[in-house]
Amino acid sequence: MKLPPFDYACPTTLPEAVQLLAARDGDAKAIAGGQSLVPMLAFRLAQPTLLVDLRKLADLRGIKISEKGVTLGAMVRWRDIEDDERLDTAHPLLKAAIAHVAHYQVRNRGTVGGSLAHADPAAEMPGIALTCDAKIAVVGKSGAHVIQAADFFQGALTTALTPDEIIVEIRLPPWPVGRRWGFEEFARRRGDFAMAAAAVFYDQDENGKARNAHVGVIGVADRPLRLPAVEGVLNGRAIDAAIIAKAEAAASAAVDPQDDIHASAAYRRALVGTLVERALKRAAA
Amino acid sequence: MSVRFRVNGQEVEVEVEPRLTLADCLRHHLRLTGTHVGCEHGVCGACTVIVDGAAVRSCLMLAVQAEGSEVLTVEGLSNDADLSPLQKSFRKHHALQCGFCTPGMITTAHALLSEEPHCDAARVREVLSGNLCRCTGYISIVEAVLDARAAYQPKASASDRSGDRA
Amino acid sequence: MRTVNSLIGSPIERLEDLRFLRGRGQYVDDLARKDMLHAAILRSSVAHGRIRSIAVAAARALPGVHSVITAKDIGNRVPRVPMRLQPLPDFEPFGQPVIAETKVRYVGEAIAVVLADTASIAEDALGLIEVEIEPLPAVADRRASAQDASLLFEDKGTNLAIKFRAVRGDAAAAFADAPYVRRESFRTQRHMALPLEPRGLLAEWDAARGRLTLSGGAKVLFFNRRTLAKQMGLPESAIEIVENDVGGGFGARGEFYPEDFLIPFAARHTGRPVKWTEDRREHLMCMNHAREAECDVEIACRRDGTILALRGHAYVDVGAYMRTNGAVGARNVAQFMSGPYRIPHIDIAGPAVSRPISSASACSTWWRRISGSIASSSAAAISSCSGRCRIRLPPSHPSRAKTSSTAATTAPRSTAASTRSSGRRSRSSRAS
Repeated sequence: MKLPPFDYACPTTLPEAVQLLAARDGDAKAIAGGQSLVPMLAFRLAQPTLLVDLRKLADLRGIKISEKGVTLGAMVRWRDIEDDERLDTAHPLLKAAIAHVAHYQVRNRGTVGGSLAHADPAAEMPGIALTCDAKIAVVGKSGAHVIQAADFFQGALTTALTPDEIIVEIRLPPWPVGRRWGFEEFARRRGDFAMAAAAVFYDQDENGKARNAHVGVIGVADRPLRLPAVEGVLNGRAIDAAIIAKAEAAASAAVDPQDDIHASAAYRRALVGTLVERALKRAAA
Repeated sequence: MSVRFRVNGQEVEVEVEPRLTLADCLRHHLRLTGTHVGCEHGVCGACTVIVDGAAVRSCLMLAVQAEGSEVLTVEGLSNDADLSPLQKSFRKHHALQCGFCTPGMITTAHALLSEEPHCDAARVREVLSGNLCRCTGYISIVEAVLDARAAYQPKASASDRSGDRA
Repeated sequence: MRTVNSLIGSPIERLEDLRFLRGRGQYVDDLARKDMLHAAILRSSVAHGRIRSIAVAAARALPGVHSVITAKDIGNRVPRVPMRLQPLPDFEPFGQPVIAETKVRYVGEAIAVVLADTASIAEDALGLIEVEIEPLPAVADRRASAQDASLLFEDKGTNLAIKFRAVRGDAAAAFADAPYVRRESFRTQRHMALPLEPRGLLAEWDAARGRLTLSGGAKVLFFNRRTLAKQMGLPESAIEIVENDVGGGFGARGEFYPEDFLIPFAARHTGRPVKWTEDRREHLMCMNHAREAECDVEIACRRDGTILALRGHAYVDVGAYMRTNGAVGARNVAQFMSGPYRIPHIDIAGPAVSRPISSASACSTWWRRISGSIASSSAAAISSCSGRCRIRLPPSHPSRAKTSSTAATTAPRSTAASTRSSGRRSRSSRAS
């Protein structure tokens, strides 16, 4: 499983990187941590003629926390998120989800930007981005722009990025104190790709009723999904056992997974319901 | 392409294709065959080396990406005279049989213990979950790593870790 | 610590650990030779098909490629993978040519060998070989195989390689009289040995002396040398097979695989040392699998739970070809079905069926365990039935049932030969 041949460039500025990608007209790929791209090259599922290494690009490695929210540079590694104690309060849902990503060695190299650009349907970061209404800041030959997470993930391993574009950072909205949240994932073994996962959060009004509920799931479609039907069950209600049961049923009904070698559609459907139920129980506890 | 980096404290310069992985560069260009290749797609951990202080899968890194880095392989964690405390612990606990996963286990454990000398069994298991072993059943490996923690405690001298002392 | 004897009874630290811990082991891929060529193998992506053409010109023209070997380069008759265990004449038609000749019969079967300056270039060249294969219906399970609608070996006229029958006493009579009878079906899935080190070989041909040195052997070096000598037309004394450090065997490594001929042949053909290292994807396709088995069995017993008789069918999938372990898996399931239990009357038929998967012949301890667990499960199934009787399972006694297994005929006594070969196998399967 030796890698196919390719040229390699290691630019020091973003405009240079964009130019290198643009010049190959779709045959070049950016490489960040390589934890998803290199296996694809090893299986010869991708055969780019040029790899543009992003490792020398400054300003892509920071974690910025302010009243505007949490901004992760595209080259922020899972390890960096794990090590940043501010995130325990600044974005506990992000921290909880990232704890499930792969294994120790992969976490030392894998990046936020890489995961978003790769868009594996079972990856945690795309799930968090979608669930939290993130904005993905991107730079390409036509300049800089921002893509809403809801518009970013278009299919399995497919995003709104054009071949010349590079993710610069992801902006998560601010996380208010007192927000209720839960994250539940199921994988056969710790570190495996999720068979399914659910990320939920809601705020509460002065009567303790849920509002602004967000429910996202991964692993049950070709991209992460928001479940507005489940959010509708939660909003305006106190989150008790009865509502949680209704939400579980709504979650199973809202998804349409395929049979695959890991699980049947029926199994995944049931699994999603259970994970939403458990995440809500955690949130409400 | 020409790549310059440091391996086990020595400066090296190699002429490689961009597509050559760090694992293959270490094994075949630098003849450091202690780092093993078990899967070539980042799932088994046999190829683990330490780059700039972090344990990484060398089959998922290009040699050209190691430019300017410090790389530590299993050979760099040993000396000819004596086994390091971690290695001694592996031997004592029979934490290896065929030996193929062992270099990856040693480098990963060394990286972990260097940063978290007080880690508990759960943490050891979590960290080693990225390294596959087909022979031992893992229990002896976890015990060996736990038993080696003492040598990584801050009050021990740095020389204890490299095995300079008997 | 005992002082009477310095070794026996004393905890001895292993010597090999001293090099393994230091990363100084010598596994076959660690070896290098001057002017070495690297081999890569083009493998079928089709489970069953007729080879119409193989075009290698583009691969040969790739810079760094030295040559490409197919069946026609090997000569008059392409050697067959030998049968090491119980090589019955019934199996001959099901033998595997070491490289595909007219048909491919499993995904992963070798079609061509590329020799190049680096492993990367060799793998690049595989992508340039054009093979035209007319697909034939794949035989996806044992029922399809038994229908013989799609034949892997047309001239044999069937996919059934052999049928073993393990008989003791008079099962029919015992069942006729039994106070309680229970029937169950059991299935076990395919397994693999999956050592962490994939296979590898380094072959060196000394043309001046007419000598071959082959590194990367394991487990059965003498048998493999005998085989290779015949296949290459060399005296045994001209071949040395070296076992280096081995990253796990589990019964599967060391058997004579197609590559064990192809790589030495390539070394003699090119006049240069040839190294081949299997990658994990090939490994999962091509290293021996352990057979899938489906068993329909009935158990008869007395009211107090004493098992009287066991009968049924054990369908064992032996893969596309009969290779080194022949139909030992099928034989073992039939032979060891009684597990640790004393069962006086037994009649188990074990058909060994072919289907297009990589040959299955992993370690036999698994087969004893599977058979034993089927017996235990049968006994447990009886004990779980409601009301009929209070069952205490008989104390297990770890003796093998002395059943016999012969091709196509029944015989009341175990053959000495089969017992002996089982013993040899069990030692090698315990090696890690």
